[in-house]
Amino acid sequence: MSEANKNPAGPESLEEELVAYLDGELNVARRRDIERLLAEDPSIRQRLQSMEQAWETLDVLSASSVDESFTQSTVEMVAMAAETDAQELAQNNVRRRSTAWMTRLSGIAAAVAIGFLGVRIFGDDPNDQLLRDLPVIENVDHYRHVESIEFLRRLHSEAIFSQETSDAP
Amino acid sequence: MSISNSTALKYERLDPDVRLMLLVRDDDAPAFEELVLRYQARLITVLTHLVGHRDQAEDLAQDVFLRVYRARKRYVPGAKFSTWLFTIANNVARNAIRSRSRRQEVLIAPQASGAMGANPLEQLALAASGQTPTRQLDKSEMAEIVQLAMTSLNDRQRMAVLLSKFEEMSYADIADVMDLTPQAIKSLLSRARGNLRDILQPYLTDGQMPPENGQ
Repeated sequence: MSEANKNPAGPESLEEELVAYLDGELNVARRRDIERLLAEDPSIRQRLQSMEQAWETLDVLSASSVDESFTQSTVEMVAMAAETDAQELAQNNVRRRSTAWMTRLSGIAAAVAIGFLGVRIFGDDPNDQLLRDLPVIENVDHYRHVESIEFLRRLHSEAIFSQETSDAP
Repeated sequence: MSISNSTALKYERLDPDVRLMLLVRDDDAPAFEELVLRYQARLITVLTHLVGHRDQAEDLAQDVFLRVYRARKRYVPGAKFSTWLFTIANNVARNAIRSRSRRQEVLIAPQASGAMGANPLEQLALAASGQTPTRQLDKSEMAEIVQLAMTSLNDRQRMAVLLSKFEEMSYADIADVMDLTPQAIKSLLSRARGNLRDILQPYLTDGQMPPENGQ
């Protein structure tokens, strides 16, 4: 009987099952199946034994021993790192608080500047009105002799004095 | 993934190292030192056989403990402490191996079997045999051969073997550590153990190099 017939999933799966059997990872039913196969087929038994033997050979790999200095240096390193972390955290907090204050102050300054510009641009400046009215103010004595604005407009439209004004120095 | 209260309580009840870690979470320095004492040798053993150098393994172990300490405030027991610790160790080791590969520093690179005697395993076996086929390999020679056999495994196979052999972890725990399924671990360990058997069997039977390619 071929191996594949004994284990329908194929030889690779049988190898997995043998390893899982050695590792105690099979349920009761699968363990019984494997034990039956082992009892029936010496070649499978041989495979299992060689697998187990190779696994036991790994015992020669030494487990590491660690001296006290390693423990000490590890704990010290972690303590130093923790201290550094704490300092960085504190610095970050200070930096964060400073940044928050700076942000607030910048906001206030920006609001003041925008307000000032707004007033400058959109607000009514009394001096502007005076500047606009300055030609009238300067000639107010002459204008007093004029009866009305209509009269002035008529003089202007008939260009009676235009020659004199253009000849004026 | 969040860990339920009942899971956390279960591991706290079952695993004394989880209880120690919970003390570390509350800034209990002696508890941390106790964890270091309990796990340093186990960690260095696995890391040494994983990366191939004791010095590097010690550096990595310290890195693992540092990460444990830095993660303490976020610690919620969702597994046995050893599973959690070796998950961190696996990540640290994988990063180290990856950056070493990038630097192209070949520290423990497996050698392809080439001409007769080119493979360190073959050279070791020849030296060990001393031209006397029946000579038994002594322990240190066998240890070197086994170490070289381990280097023939890929990183994942080697990690699974080390956790199974030295930590006696179940497939489920190894799966947790390596972020794989238990079925994947079953296949991984089967292939790894098959490879080890194929390499070591000739040395185990007569202490010398087996005929290569059936010659």
